Amino acid sequence: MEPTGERTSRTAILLMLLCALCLCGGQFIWKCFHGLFAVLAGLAVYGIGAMAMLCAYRRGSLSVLQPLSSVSYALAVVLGAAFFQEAITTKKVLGVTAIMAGVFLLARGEK
Amino acid sequence: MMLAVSVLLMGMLASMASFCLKKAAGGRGGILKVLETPFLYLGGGFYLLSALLNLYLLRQLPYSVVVPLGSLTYLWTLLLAHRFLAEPITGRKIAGILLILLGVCFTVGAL
Repeated sequence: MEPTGERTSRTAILLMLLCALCLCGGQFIWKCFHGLFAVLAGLAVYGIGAMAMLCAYRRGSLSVLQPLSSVSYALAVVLGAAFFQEAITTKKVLGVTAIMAGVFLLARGEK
Repeated sequence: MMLAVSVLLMGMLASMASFCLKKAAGGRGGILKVLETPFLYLGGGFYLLSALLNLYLLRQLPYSVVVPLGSLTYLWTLLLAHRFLAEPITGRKIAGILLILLGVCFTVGAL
């Protein structure tokens, strides 16, 4: 399926953000809860994220959309501090920033 | 050690899963055709294994560290795409991968 035109639709961007949310959410469930139901719930959330990503890719260009899923890394640092008392250190901020920049470059890599 | 191997494997399996699912979705025909391809189940299996490793890592490491570790999948995808789809590795992509690796080192260093 070809993405429609060059403009990436707002829907596609929102879908990618949903994907990022699901990436965080699924692992959040696994961090908090144990047992078979938790595993299945996390997988279900992951599945929703995957669907959102597939829908998004049909509506826009990869080079714009793919980096958006990496906001999940920044979100994870925030959620870790909010819910798991995982301190937001300079190293973590630098690390996540570098990863996001790297993902951005990768997506625009056809040089 | 076990953790490092698990991290690398998790990314590799997720990457392989994406490849298989892409192959499964690529053929002509509707949803029924997709259900017939072995790649769908192979991809699903790889994803499940990757998810289990993800689960294991979440028990051992902080949430805000494990989620960004998922970015290593991009490295594997680059290598697999280069090897099997003859996608070129441009200078920009190398820069992107290096940034991701740098970011991962920082994030893990925050342990």
